Amino acid sequence: MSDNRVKGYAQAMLNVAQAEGNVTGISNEMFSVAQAVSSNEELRSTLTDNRIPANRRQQIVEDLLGGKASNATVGLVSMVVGAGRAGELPDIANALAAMAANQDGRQVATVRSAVPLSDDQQQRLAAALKQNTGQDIDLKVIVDESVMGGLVTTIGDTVIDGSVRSRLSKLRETL
Amino acid sequence: MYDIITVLAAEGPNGWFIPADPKELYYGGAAFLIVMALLSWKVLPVIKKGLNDSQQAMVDEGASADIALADAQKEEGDLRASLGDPQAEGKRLVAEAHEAANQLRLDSHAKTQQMVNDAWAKAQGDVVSLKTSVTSDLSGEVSTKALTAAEAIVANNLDGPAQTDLIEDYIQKVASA
Repeated sequence: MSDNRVKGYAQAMLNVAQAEGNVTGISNEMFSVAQAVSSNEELRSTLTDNRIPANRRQQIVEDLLGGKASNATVGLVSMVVGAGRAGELPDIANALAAMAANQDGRQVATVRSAVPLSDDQQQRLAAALKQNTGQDIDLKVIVDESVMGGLVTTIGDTVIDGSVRSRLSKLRETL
Repeated sequence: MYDIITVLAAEGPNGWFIPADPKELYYGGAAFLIVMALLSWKVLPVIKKGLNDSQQAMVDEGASADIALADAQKEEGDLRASLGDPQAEGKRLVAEAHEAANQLRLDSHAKTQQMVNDAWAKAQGDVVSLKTSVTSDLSGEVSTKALTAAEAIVANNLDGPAQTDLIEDYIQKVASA
């Protein structure tokens, strides 16, 4: 999907979220749904399979998210899946998060961790990142077991890699 | 003479030798002389020329035979000269054959020696290459096993407290950066 199309979908979602008065909530839910689709191969292949009728794929989305996310989020995800763009859902969610954060003068920081972060850890990490960047941080945590341990933070084009995986990779290169 | 002829003619009744009319003798003699003159004038030169040509041809053939004989003798001389001494020629040929065989043996030996040297050099290169390759493979294998073991050990030790320590350490480093 081209950048323009991703931004177009993200902008449309932002408009809906603003109309609903729940930009942060819908943005967070979209981000979570996108991560779930990315990390689940079976779900991703089902939602991106164009041989399955669009209404059937949309029904799967509504069944999965019903009661767990806002109606607006369910509708937006259903719209993307019905349009055959489920594969681009992570890019759209990231663009939406960036737009929502920029609207409030914040910057999105994506954090990958092998284990979930507590609220306290997230707050302290956001504060530490704000101290470095000078901007309020909208933290998006992704649980990724491939990290093994530690954290990998991405802010824009900057990557702060403190993961065990990267240390082992460096060890492999040294050997 | 005329009288005798006249007498004979008068005595005999027209014999087989003497014609009845003596004038025939005159006419015959004159005719004979005319024929002889014509023969001497026209035919004799032709015959003489033919004999001369034949004689010249025989002379020419003789000369050609002499020339052919001389050529044959010269060729014989050349052949004999080229043959020289058969025994000496035979020895020379045998010596040449020996020399050629010896040279061939030397060439073959040198070629074989070169092949052996090349094969030896290639074998040495292969050994070095194989040694390097095996060493590299072994090193890579050891590294892979060491890393696999390290990953397994790290994974086993990354329990809850260890994960928390790593996260806290990361937050502190970001804060102090």
